[in-house]
Amino acid sequence: MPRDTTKNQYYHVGIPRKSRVHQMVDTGAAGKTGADFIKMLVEDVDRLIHGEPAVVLSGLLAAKSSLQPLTGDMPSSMEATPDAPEPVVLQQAVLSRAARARRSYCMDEDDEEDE
Amino acid sequence: MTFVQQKKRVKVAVGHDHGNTETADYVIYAPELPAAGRVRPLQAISLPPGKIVQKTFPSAVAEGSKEELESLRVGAGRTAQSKAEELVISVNGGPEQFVGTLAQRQARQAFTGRGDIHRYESERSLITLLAGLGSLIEEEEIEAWVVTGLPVETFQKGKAIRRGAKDTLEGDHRFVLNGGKERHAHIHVVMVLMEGAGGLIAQGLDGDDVRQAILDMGGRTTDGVATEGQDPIRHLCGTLARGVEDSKEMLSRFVENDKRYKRALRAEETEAILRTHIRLKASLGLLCQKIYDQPLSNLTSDQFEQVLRTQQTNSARALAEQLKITEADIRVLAQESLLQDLCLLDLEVRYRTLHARGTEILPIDLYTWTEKSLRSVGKDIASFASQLWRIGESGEVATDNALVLAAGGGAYYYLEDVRELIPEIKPCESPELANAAGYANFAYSALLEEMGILV
Repeated sequence: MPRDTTKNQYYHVGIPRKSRVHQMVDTGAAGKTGADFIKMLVEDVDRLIHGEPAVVLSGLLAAKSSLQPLTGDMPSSMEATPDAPEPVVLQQAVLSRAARARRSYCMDEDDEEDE
Repeated sequence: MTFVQQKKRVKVAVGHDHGNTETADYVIYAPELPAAGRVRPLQAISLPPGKIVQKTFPSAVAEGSKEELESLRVGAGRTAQSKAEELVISVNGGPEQFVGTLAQRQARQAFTGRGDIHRYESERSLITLLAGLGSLIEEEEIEAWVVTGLPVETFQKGKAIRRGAKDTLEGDHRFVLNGGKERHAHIHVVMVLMEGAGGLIAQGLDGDDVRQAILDMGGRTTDGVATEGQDPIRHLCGTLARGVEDSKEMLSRFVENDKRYKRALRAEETEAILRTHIRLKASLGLLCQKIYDQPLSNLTSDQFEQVLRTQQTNSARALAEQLKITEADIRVLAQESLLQDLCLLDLEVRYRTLHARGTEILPIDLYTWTEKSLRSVGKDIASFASQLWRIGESGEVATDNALVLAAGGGAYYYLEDVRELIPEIKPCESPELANAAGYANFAYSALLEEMGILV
């Protein structure tokens, strides 16, 4: 049976296709795989069950990401919403590059450098 | 029982881009950690992004006091009031200094350190940093993790100058901004980078092997930086001593050498003309398409004069109605010109009125000379990129990169010249802030690590 490219297993939780969150779940981003991200979401659910704050979801919601369907009724339409960059994801990507740059530059090396 | 009010303290990561013309400060607040986390160690991705604030202001610094300034303004029984954007700062008990536009306007000779490679080691770098932080952050106590940059050529001169740039900023400092309370800043310099490297951190590509480059067009220097991942490739990094200030000086000379005007322009006048020019050129380009269905560069001088006259003598509304210009046209124009805030009203943009010997300097002269000044420096910048990044004998430039970015305030002026050589070059979003944003994220990464958070 040909793969249905218009839907996948994440649709039923209301993550709009083509959104950055969907892309993150699907392919990973900023040095985290999709599995890492799902693991962190599962840990969030675990925290909620234990009456503790959900940090990943809180972060995404604080960043006004497009996760509203999770907090209310299921959307009547599964149409993809316009693709808006989520600050959490964007900042992660920048931080990932910053961490890479920190491995490339080292202030301490200056002490050993010959003039 | 007496309550002693706790001084508010804040921890921030800061990107400090102290340029020849403009200083950009980009601040990311340290994240607030959950009171009791069950998962250790904490991951950066599990925390809301830190609050971000940023500011750009002229790098000019000049001696001057708030008291003198206000006494000058008191007149006819009115109480003097400082303007919100004005910065007067005293650092470590020293004399008050004007910073930014106030220094440009009020001082006979404001110092920007132009052409002085040791400006990064001077107290002015600290003054602009504290003025930026003080006006962006409310708290009395600031603990700042700072990353700053040097032009590639200066950076490559060795450790002494890099250490000097670091030592100037590092340490505990007291400052008073705009006559307010004394505040304290503890500055920890995480790193001194090459200018341009910040832009690649902020808006470059991920991956260890990806080749990418950035052309950072500043006030007095243009830096080219090429990297693999974020690792600089030394022989593909360099500095050209040309930038926006050269165009401004050239423009001033054109006016001064013309026998009708014979007067040099002040720095604030050339600045205003250049800023207006890019809006005017974008508007004229659109009018030209609507009237002649051709790009601006294809017009004869008579046709151009006609378009300019039409633009200068009609309101934006009249032009939009006559030529059927829509909001969609303006949006496309905004993207092409990098002026994100371009709007219909810009159709009637005018140069500031300038006089010389009782004669108004004509808009057609200002347009022609500004364009010549920009294109002259733009060609030099393109030629520099060509020498630095030429591939083989074919004449192709930088084609072995996955991404070539344009950053710095000069991107607004010279992108079209560089595009002739590197058509794929992509302007950074808010190019004037790109370096500072990258520096700040570098510092933020170090700050998170210090807080025990995995990046």
